[in-house]
This record gives sequence, C-alpha cells and structure tokens, in this order.
Amino acid sequence: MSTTKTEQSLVVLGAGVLGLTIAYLAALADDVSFNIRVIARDLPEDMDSQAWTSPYAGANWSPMELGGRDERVRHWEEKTFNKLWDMIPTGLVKRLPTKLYTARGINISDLWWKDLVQNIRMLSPSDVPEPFKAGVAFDTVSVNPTEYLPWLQSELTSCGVTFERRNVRSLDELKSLVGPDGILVNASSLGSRSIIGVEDTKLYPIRGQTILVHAPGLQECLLVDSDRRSYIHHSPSWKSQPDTAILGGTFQQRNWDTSLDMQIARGIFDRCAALAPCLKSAESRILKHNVGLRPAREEGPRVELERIALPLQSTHDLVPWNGSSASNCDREQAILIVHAYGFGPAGYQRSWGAAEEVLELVKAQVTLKQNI
Amino acid sequence: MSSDSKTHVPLVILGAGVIGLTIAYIAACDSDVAFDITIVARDMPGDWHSQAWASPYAGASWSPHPLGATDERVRRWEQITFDRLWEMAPSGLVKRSPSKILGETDGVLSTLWWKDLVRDFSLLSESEIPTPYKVGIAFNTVTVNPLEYLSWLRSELESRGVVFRRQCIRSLDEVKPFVGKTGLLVNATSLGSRSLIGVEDTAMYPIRGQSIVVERTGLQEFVTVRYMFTIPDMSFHVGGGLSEQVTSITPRPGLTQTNTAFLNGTHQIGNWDTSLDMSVAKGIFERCSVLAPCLKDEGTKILMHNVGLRPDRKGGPRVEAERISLPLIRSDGLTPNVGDDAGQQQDITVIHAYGMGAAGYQRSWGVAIDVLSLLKENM
Repeated sequence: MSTTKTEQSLVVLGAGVLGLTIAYLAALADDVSFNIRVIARDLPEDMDSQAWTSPYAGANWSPMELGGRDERVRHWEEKTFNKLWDMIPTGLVKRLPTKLYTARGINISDLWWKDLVQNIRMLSPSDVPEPFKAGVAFDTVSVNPTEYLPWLQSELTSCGVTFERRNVRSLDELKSLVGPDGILVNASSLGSRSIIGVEDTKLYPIRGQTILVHAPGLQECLLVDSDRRSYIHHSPSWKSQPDTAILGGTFQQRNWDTSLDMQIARGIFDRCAALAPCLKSAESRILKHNVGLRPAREEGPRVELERIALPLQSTHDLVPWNGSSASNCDREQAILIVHAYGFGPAGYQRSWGAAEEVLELVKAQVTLKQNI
Repeated sequence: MSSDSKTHVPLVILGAGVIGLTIAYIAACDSDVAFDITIVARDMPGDWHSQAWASPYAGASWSPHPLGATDERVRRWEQITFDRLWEMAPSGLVKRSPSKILGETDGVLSTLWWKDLVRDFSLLSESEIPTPYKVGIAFNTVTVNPLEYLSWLRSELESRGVVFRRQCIRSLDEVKPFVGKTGLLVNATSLGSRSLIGVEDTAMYPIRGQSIVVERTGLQEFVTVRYMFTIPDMSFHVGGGLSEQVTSITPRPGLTQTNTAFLNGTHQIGNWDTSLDMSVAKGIFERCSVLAPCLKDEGTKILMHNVGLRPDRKGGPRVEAERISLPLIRSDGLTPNVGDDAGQQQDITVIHAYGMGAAGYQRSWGVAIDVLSLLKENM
C-alpha cells in the first residue's frame, strides 16, 4: 500500500517544543509519508541559549485565561493535556499534584479548565495559607524540558528526520529547499518577528526569570493566582534532576532583557519561601538562575496556512540577496507555509493540540495536490 | 621555540569576543611568561548568527568616540590600537580607509581630541563640503571585517596552543576548577558581566545597533554624519527618535567577501530588542543613500540585516584587577551551589576587561596590553 504513496517533503523551521511536536506527528502519520527536515538556529542540545524559549519552561499545564475565551486554544489544551496524561506510564511525563491559592473566593464551576485537569477539588480553609482566601487542588501534567526535548529529537532522528543548524533570516533562503512541492511549517516563535517574509510585529517577548532549586521538602506545585508572578513548580523526581523545583517568576511584557536581575531573584525567592518555608532549610539550595523570553503574540497564537510568492523582491524592499543560482532565483514560485507560533507561556501545554491542527492543515494541502 | 626557561602560568580568559581574543593574543606572544591559555566562552568565532555576543556585528573601524576626550586610559588604548591596526594593513586584514565626518553644525569641532590619533587629519574647505552640511573633517582611519578578523585571531591563537572551551559560565564558582592554583582569570564577558554571578555589574547596559551589510562597488571612504543633536555620549539619557540614529558607511576589507560595506544604523540606549525592524532598516538605507547615492543604483546587493547589542557601561569600561574568594559566599543565599565538592576557599585574581560599548575593536590592543601588565603585577 505504501509503495503507491509519494513522499511529501516537509520542512519544519524551528526546533522548539512546537516544531519538534509537529515533526513528530508528521513522522508518525500513516496516511501520508513525509520526508521531514528540521531547520533551526537552536537545537535541543543548546540548553544554554537564550535565543529560544523551550529550555526555560517548567513545564506543566497550568491555568491560563486564553483557553477560557478562545475555543481553538481550549481545544488544543484539552488534547495536549490528555495526550500528556496518557504518557505518564512512560516516565517522560509526571502527574503533578497542584494547589492554586487565590486572593479572592473561587468557584470550581466558574473555572473553564475544571474538566480539563484531573481530580479537582476545593481546598478546605485550613489548607489555605495567609494571606490567601481560597484555593483548589488538582492534578496536572508536568514535563522536564531537559529530558522532553532531547526525547523528541531522538524519536525524530530514529524516524529518519534530519536536523540542520541554520539561521534562516528570510523565506527566500528556503525557496529551493521547500520547492514547489514541499510544505514549510514555520514554528520559529519570536524569530517570526525578524524573518523577512513573515515580519510579524504582533510578536513580543514576555520576560520570565526563574530559579531552579534543589528542594527535597517540596511535594507539589503551588500556584498563586493573584499576581501571576509567584509559583513553585515542583519537578517530581526526574532522573536527571531529582528533587528539583522551579521558582517563579516574572511576566514582564515586551521586555527583551536576557540579563539576570538579582533583586528580582530575591523577590522570587522570598515570595516562594513564604509559600513553602522548606526552601529556607539547610537541605534546599539554589542550582541556577534562568531568564527566558516567552514568545507571545497579540490576539493569540498564529496557526494558519499561507501561500507566499518567492522570491520576495516583488513585495518587499531591502530583501537580502539570495546567493543561489540565478535561474532558481529569478523563477517565481509560491510556497505553502503553515504558521505555528506565538504560544507565549503555553507552548508545551498547547503543543500536541496545535500540532494536530497543523498536520490537518498540511494533509489537506497534500490531498488537494493529489487531486489536481 | 624553547619555553622551558619560562615559567608556565595557566590563564583562563572568559569571553571570546574581540577583547578576550586580543588579550589572549598578547599573552600568548609574551616573551617573558609562557601562559597556558584556555578561553572559555558561550560564543566564539564561528558563531556568526548568535546575537548573544556583539563582536560579529561591528562595522568595524576606528571612529571618534567622546570618551577619549576625558578618559586618559581610553585615549591611550585607542592610540595604541590605531597604530597597531595601521601597521597590520599589509596583511589585508586591515584597511587604511579615507574618511569623512560631515556635520550639520560645527558642534562636531568642539572636541577634536583625536586629531593626532588618526592619520592625515584635515578640515574640509567650504567648497569641499557637500550641502546641506556645514562642516567637514577628513582623515585616514583603520577598518576591519569582523568575521575575517575574529577568525584570524582564533586561528592565530589555536596555532599558539590556546585552547577554546565552549561553556556557558553563569557564576565565577564554575571557573574555579579551571584556574588551578595560580588562580588567574580574565573576565572579558562584556554584557555577560551583568549576569555573571560574582560580578553582577549593573552598570552594564546594551546599546542596540541595527545595521545593513551590502555589496556595492564604488564606495571608497568611511563617511559619517553628525546631526544637530549630539551623538549620545556617556551620560545615560532616554533617547528617542533622531538621537538614536547614527548614519555611516563603512567600506569593509574582505579577503573572501569583496566590495562589502556596513551601513549604520541605530544607537538605542538600554534597548535589548534583538529582533529586526524593517522600517528602521528602510530609514538606515535612506540616510546612507543620501551620503552615497550609488547605493540606490542597480548592482547594490543587500547581504544581511543585523542587530547587535553593544556592551556599554555607565562610568566607562572596567579594566582592573580584583581579588575574589571562591567559592562565593554571600549573605543573601542566592548563590547557586555548584556542588558539595566546591573545595577549599581559594582567592583568585580576576582582571576585568569589559564595557567597551561601541568601541571594542578600536580599544582592543591597548586594553590587552594593560591587561597583560595587570596580570604580571598580580602573578
């Protein structure tokens, strides 16, 4: 049966959690045979680079308001949560008991995500610390980027997906690679602001500073709803980093500053220690301070198909000269792009759902082409 | 070459930008001391697409920077560097370039502290000054192509046995295993010194520079304009609009890439934004085309749009020795713990050399010589 399938070329630009998850679903697709190449400036081994966000996430599903007003996002998060929950037996995903404290009263029935998480229940007043008024407990899913991203990459490599380290500055650079028959997935997150041919000025960073600690006394994830700044994301017993937790954090809109601010670190630590005094014990210690830029987007993530005419000369000024052969360069060609970027603080928790939608968009184009 | 008669001294240099590399070069060539040099850095020559360091994004040529008027060290560094680069011209790595500064007002004449530093300085006569400018200064400067220059430095260092180690150092504690008993460290981490635990220099700040690299024949000289607003000096002020623009054209030497030029640009104080702004790019191109109309002729190729963050420092560059005790002990409890076998307390000598802002290349050799003196004083 598969001998009649032609290989569909798929180029994925970006190797963060979105790009990798999209490539993964494409690699596993049994109705289309994809020839997949992942191209990115930063790859999973670049965990010290601040030019991408995925290394710096917690990462866990946590309540974010967009899913309450955007049906598509809600759908992505439900799918992702369920997929990750099913992965728990593999050890790559952990069940994360979580407590959310609120400054005001809280009604479970008002929460858009009440059926998304597992085991949600109100906290009894005695379980709600000062100065909070109420709280809920629930189970969520958690992954460790330092294990999850390399796992995705190794799964992809074993499926024959190739990785190429390249800094793509303009869509013109991908013209011959994608070709008239290929499909490009643009999962370049904040990079889409700069890539000529995309130049999405709706993208902006949300600076996140956190502290990675070793804290054997922590049992669960603690979230504070009032200021969205404080959270203790407990990383339950990862092999590589046992007894660690991430203390957060900041949500500084439109702030590109990747340098470490020790005054902010002080504030983070103190606020989290108020929630979990064991952080001040002799067994707890600070492992690392981190700063990452979440790739947010006004109006929400962009997941859609676009057909772009290359080379860009006709529509853009000051386009970099594409050094490839003149004949290739001059011939106009439209390429198909599926954009998938702008997930802000919720890349991991929307990854599987968004990747599924991307695959549907891609496969619809494959079908269209086959029918011509 | 027998180095058996010389003392071998381990030296660790943090940072592989133009400053770190040049310091390594001066140390590696020293005739009295045989330094065993390891350069430890997150970014190094070859990482041309990383925006986490500034050196790839420079012009780079010597151009007047106000600090030399008031800071004697800076004037000395720039003189030494200029002379050294001038002498390197026959190698092809450095170009001796005719230059012009055009001023909208004569404000640019208020400080010419550098007129004896450059070569062939002269004021343009009225007939030589194009409209709408009021003042013109001509001189010969030195220009390098950063990518070729940094690559050259790296290969010279490797051929002299310098080891390059790629590592992101977040705290001075992490360096302790490398410095050994002699404990000599050079900190040339530029903007990184803001975050490096044990340094945490909050006087460091970025100056965003967007630029365009073009291929264009017919560009002969380095030319820059000084506007009615002063080019931002060392005083920290919130810029905006005109005062954040710089306009200059730097024709670059190139052994592999010929006929390239660097079009400036922006000078945005305190701005960390590494994304590309195409409307700014258009402004840069327009302003430079006024200076060199041939840019709008056919045959001009845009090669690349760049954004880099110049590592500037309130109060000027920091070049000095500091004794630091490792592991770091601090009262706020925020120091990362590098492990239980951090070992005994050890004092190391850190020679800081960072915060050159827009003038890294043009101070590099002078700074390196001072750093070598500081190293020897502290051995």
